[in-house]
Amino acid sequence: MSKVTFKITLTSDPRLPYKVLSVPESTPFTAVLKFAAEEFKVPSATSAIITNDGIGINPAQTAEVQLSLYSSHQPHQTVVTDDWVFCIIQREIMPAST
Amino acid sequence: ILADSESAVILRLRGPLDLKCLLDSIDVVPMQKAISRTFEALRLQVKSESCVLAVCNSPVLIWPNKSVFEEISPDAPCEDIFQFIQTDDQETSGNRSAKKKNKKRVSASVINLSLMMEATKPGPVSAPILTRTVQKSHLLCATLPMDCAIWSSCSDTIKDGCERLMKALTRQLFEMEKVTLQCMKGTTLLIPEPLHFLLPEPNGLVTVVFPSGVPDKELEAQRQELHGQFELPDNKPFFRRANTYHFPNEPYKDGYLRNPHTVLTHPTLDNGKVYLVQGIYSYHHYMQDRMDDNGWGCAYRSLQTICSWFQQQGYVERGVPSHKEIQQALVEVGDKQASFVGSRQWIGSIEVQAVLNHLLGVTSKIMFVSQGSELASKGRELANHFMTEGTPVMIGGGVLAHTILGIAWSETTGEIRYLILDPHYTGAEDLPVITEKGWCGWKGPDFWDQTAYYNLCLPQRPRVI
Repeated sequence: MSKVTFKITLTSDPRLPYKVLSVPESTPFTAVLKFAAEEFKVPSATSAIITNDGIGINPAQTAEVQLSLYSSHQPHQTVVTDDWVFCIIQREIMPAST
Repeated sequence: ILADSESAVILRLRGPLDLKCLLDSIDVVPMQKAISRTFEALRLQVKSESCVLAVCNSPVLIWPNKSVFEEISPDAPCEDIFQFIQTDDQETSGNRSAKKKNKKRVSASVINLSLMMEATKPGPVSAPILTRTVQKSHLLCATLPMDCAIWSSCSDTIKDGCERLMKALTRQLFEMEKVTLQCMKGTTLLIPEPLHFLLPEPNGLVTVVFPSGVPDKELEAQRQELHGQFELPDNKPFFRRANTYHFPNEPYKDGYLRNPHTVLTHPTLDNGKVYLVQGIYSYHHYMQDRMDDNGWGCAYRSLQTICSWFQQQGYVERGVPSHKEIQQALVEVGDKQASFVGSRQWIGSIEVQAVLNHLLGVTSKIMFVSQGSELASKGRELANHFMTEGTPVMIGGGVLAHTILGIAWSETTGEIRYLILDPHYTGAEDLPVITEKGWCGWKGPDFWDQTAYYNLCLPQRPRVI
């Protein structure tokens, strides 16, 4: 199974640390979020991923689709290029309390 | 011709004309010829002395083709017609402020006229003669919904106004003939439908005939031609059905308020400019639609306001989603578990963005500040947003959600004010209350919780016509 590789930056940390992650290309972005949140040790329930241009993404789409929409990534390409960057941001809502 | 809107009067003429056409053959060319002949007969009919214009809700009658004016003088200014019109306002009571006859009109006023034909003529009395022929033929029978509208300035006389209306009527019949023939498929004909659009200056109020029942997505070629003809940008819709001009005296059937911010006085800052949402939105807030979402639905309501903007600008045809539909969309994209539907759980900017994307196909930018005090420094970005996208902005944080409809910002001093539409209002659609009590109003930077984290959802306008 092919993997896609991209950079993801933690914006809530002023030092803007980033990680380079690899996931199978068919991974839905909701799973990518969980994985990235774990890597950065932030709660995934109150996190979200956006592109580094600040565009919100559809969490239902796979990693492959997100990258082809928002960067110059070509299918099955394995070399990491500079524009494969996403950001993890914090959600502003309070957790559920009905 | 665009007149100064404070003194402008719109004359709107509506009425049915019967299109009745006996077809000896249903081959294309004879059919087209027969239809053209029928339209020519209609054009003669509206130029005849039997044509009558009746001013709605008044005793005024006009025979434009023989210059007979009942109850009114032809050389009087068009505005004088208002004296003869009986409006419903004189009868209603309640907490709505009564319209006074000499109250200054804030927008153009409309005089509605009905198109009528005299059914009989005076003449020598004689017995009717009937002949009977047996012949098979097809009868085309339809009603043309004539609808002409012209702006008139305060110096136009009633006679001038009527002449222009009659010219517009003849022109409309030509355009309807063209559209009917163009859209003919075999023996199927589509009724031509006139729609009015208010274009930016210098074009003003323009009427276009479209084939009725054809959805927007099949009319793109016609819209492209119109954009070329009127020199309009090719990345913003002006001629979708949702873009039709809403005449000032027509209430909206759904009961929601439109653009409550337009009655406010905008703040004047030193070297400041005002940057506002472009277009029309509806005000959605707590307790509407018999939905008790008091305390948890604020972001849902802000999202509804944003959806209403996309619908009314013609970008989407779907109506504003309900709370359940919003929740269902979030489950469908995998952002929430199935148990979310029917719950009273809060949502934020990220959810708003995901729903706009899933239900409307709209992309949004997410902006965030780690502290509310930093919002004061986002003037340039928000100004750019309102100038290029012009969409309402949803902001969440500090335990609340609001809609930002615009800002007043000074590039030199950095001073900023925010035009806020508050979804937490629980009352009725009462414009004076909403604006006087600040439910739609200008707020300063201290409106935000200075230490709270905020996310903003800035919806992007699709670049289509």
